[in-house]
Amino acid sequence: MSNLSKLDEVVETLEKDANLIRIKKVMICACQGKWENNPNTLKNFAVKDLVKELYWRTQTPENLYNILDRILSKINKKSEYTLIVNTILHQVGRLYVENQSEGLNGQRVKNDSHFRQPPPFPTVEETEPPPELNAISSPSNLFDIRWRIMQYTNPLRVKLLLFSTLEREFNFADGDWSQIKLQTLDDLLRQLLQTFPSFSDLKANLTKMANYLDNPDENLQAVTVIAETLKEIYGRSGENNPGTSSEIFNQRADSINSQNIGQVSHHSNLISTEQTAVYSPLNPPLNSSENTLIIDTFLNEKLSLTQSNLVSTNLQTEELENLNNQLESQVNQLINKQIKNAIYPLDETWDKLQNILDFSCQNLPPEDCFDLKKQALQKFLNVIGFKVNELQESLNNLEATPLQSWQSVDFSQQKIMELARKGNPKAIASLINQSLESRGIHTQVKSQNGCLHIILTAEPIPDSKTTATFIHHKLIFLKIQSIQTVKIYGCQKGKKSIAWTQEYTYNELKG
Amino acid sequence: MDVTELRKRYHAGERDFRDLNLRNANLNSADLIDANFSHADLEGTEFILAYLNGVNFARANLAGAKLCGANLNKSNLGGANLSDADLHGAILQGVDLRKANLSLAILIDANLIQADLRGVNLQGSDLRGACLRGANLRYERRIYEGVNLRGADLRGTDLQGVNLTGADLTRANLQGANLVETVLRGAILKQANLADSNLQSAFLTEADLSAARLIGANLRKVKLERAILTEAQLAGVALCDSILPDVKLSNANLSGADLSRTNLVRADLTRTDLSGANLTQADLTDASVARTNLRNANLSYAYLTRVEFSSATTVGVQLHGAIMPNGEIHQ
Repeated sequence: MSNLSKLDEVVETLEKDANLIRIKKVMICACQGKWENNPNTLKNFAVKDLVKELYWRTQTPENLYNILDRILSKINKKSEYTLIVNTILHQVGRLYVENQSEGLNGQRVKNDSHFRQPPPFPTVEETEPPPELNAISSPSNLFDIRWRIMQYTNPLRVKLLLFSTLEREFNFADGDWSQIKLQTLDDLLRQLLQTFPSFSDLKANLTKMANYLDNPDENLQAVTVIAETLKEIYGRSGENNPGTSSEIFNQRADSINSQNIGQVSHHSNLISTEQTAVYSPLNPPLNSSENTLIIDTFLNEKLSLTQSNLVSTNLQTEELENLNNQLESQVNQLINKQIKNAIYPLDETWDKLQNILDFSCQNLPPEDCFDLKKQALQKFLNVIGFKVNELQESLNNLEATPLQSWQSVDFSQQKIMELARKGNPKAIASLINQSLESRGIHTQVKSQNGCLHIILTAEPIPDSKTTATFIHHKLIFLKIQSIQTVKIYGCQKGKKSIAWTQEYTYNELKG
Repeated sequence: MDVTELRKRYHAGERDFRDLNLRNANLNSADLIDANFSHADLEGTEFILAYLNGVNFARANLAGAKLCGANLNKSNLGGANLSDADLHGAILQGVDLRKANLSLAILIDANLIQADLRGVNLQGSDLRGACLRGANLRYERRIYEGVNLRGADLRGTDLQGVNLTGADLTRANLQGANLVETVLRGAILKQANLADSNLQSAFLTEADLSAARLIGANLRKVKLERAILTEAQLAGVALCDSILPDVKLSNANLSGADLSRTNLVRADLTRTDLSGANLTQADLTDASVARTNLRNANLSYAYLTRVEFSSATTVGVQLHGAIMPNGEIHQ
């Protein structure tokens, strides 16, 4: 079979299509990168030339698919043009089948024909929208949505906003009024859900349009209501950002894609990643029992895990023994030196005192002399002993309140690092806190079943990108053992709900 | 008085504009909160996206006025003439619209939540996509007549739980409307289009649904005591668990309908088409089945006490476990 006959066939089919003009527009855009609206110019383009050019430009159906997908993502009237793009994919796609392995392309074309009309393209991840998204398009479920929207905002304003977003800017002319009367709020909402497969897309587009139109304040209020109402649907479909924190945990655990949830606040606690290696002297992290309580209830409730294996804050002797050799020898050296410093003068004083006593008692009879000397030396020893007891007592106190001592007294940075590497959450928290506390971000860390939960609390919600990247770098630097996943949550101070969450697979970080 | 003067006086604090004459004026986006326009003549005036919260329009003439997207929260429109007015996407939540004339008005996507619509005339109005949850449209003897919704366009309208007792919905289009738990007691739905509507658990006691179109409607658990469904189109409809004693279904088309567990005591099924219908466990005691088409119907475990089948078409009927007219259980 010659290639030419196939080409003619394709050209013929396309020319017969009722949407020829639109097909041409898309193909011109794909070939020349511009959007042609002039009907005369459009007429001058021959379909055959366009098909040929498109074919040579793309070479593979994947390229064709990508180019058309990109065009579709940029234009208005997505639902109409989806059909057009499908037609082109289907028709021009036939040409490739001749040249390449039958299997691959056969499958491709089959996939294409499977595209559902509304969200026609598999999204970037090539996943079809979940069935729930289509289920909500049924009017029965839309009644509740409409009811909620109507209660909190002006229905006409919502319609104007949606119309402007989906079709074209509403110009308040008679033609547009009659056009908008043909489409009920239901129709527009359904179209909206079909056009934007992701919640963030939806929100961004609506906000942009709201700011562009007159009365941005009222439009933005409408956007907020729409977003609030539709958030749940997107959340329920599991594909987008969930509305409630409890749903955060229902997300697929393997998703590394970070997701920012409804982060309206643009405050950012910017943190440069270079700071990773900078260690300031230990700041005692806020570890009041209240905070621990919050973190515990938070994790227990939201994760619904039965048991929390909060790592004991007490420093275990094993941990001390496991200090690296270098540090141990350093300490030994130091101790030896101090012993020498302390013992030597003591011996010296002892000898000196004996000599003085001998000298002063030389006139006395030997028995009296001996008694006096013994008494004086005992007195001296008692005072020394008292001092030793005092030291012993302070040592005992040191052991009795190890939490305080470990947070605030003299724990070497190295030791904390050592513990952090072993996955001690307190140590990790204090390391992160050293850099973030100064920015008003308080960090709490908890490790559970190989997952490290890091909760960041700050007055303005901490900026997800910068903080998460910062922590991510820091964790890479630490090379923590026995951790598979890292989840970072951002919270506003004083609020229990989570503003955003990011998840990383730790093994990948190490790689 | 003209628009500029009105605005000026309103701005100066004046609120009383009773009996004002301001036809065909342009008051788009105007802020006239709490003004009093009772008995005013505002025919053809434009109030697009205006703020009219708490405004008193009692008995005002607003015929042909444009009130699209206007905020009329808590305003009084009692007895107002709103015929042919455009209330597209207007906020009429909790508004008093008693005895208002809304014939031929446009109420597309309007918010009529909790509005008082007793005795209102909505003949031929366009209510597509409007939300009327919690609205009051009740018939009250000697005070408020049943709401007139003759020929109104109610496609996709949300009427969930609304009380439409005694309303006249003759030839109204209710396609795809939400009528869950709606009270339509004694309502007139002659020749109405109820295709694809959701009537689950609705109250249709004594309603007149003669020649109504109900294809694709959800009629589960509906109360239809003494209702008139003569010549109604009910082919393939789901009516399971519904209560229909004394219902008149003569000449109705119920072929392929699901009538399992329904109560059809004393029902008039004269010349009714029940071919291929599912009547499992249905109670047909004392039902009249003169010339009823029961071809291939499933009557297993049905109660058929005192039913006289002699003139009915019973070819291919399944009667397994049914209680037969003579009281025997069919084997």
